[in-house]
Amino acid sequence: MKMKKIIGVLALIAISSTAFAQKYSTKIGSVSFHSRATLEDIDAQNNQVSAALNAATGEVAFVVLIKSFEFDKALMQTHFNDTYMESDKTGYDKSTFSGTITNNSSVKYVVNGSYNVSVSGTLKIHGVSKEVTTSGTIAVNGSTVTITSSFKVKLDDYAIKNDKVKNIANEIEVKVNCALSKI
Amino acid sequence: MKRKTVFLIIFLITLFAAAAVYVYFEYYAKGNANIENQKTDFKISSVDLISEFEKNDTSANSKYNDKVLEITGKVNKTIPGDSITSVVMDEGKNLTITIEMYARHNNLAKNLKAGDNVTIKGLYVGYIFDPLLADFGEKGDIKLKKGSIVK
Repeated sequence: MKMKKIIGVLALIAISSTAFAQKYSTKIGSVSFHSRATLEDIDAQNNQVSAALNAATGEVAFVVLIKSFEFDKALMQTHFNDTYMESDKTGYDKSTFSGTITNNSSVKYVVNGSYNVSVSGTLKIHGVSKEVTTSGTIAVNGSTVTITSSFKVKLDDYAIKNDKVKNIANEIEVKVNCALSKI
Repeated sequence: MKRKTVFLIIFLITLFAAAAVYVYFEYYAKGNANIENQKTDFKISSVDLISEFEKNDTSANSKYNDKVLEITGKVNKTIPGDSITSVVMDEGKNLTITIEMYARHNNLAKNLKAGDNVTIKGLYVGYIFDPLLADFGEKGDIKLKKGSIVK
């Protein structure tokens, strides 16, 4: 009887520690954005996002290459890279987010389901870093954890110039959808 | 004299209209370049590409910036998506290569198996070798997009 209990406790420890020491990552996460303005709507999609999550601490990191964004029109893509994001400049070629899931304890990484989360951290776009907080969901499905979130980015906050023509919204809607697998 | 002026005006209007049409289709509404049909700038093996980045990532990045590459190497794995598959080459170094294939080649790309020798043409996008991800034990990644299988 006692032996069984000990084994049970040991098994529990083993299960919880493997579950909690677990890290997840992807190289092909998605980030898209949408700009709605009077002249035109602009959409861009990036399927090459690298991201990682530490289930034990709730730490997350996303790294996005600016040149990975695909637009319908070649000209939009050129303007986006050259005029607005200046992606050939050192330090401007990537956008990053690193932060922590503030309610990580409420996410059961061993139980399939969808959990609402709140994330705080540093968002770096166009060489400018800002502290941000946003909400999102974490969907656990076996060894895959899918992070989704949607938030708005003000161009002014990141010193992205937008005085030329009014065909770009001052606020861009960004959507994140990254399926991370166990490392 | 008068007739000459009229001709000149008509000529200028036609020229302007033609220019406008040209600019619209060739410049404004133009879709993204088809990398498959573009000339290859560099032919290189996956091992050599990775070691170039390991030696000096900044100079390798500016060398390949916006260039079309043909990379020959072994498939480590494919990551199939709904419409797009990515091919990963891993030579056991601190960096991997991930190529996002054209959606129209999804079926071909999906059929690639680990260990297959391939040559893939694609557009160099950049590399991620970020301490943010290294903290999680993640390797760096050299990224290409618009990939097609050459052989």
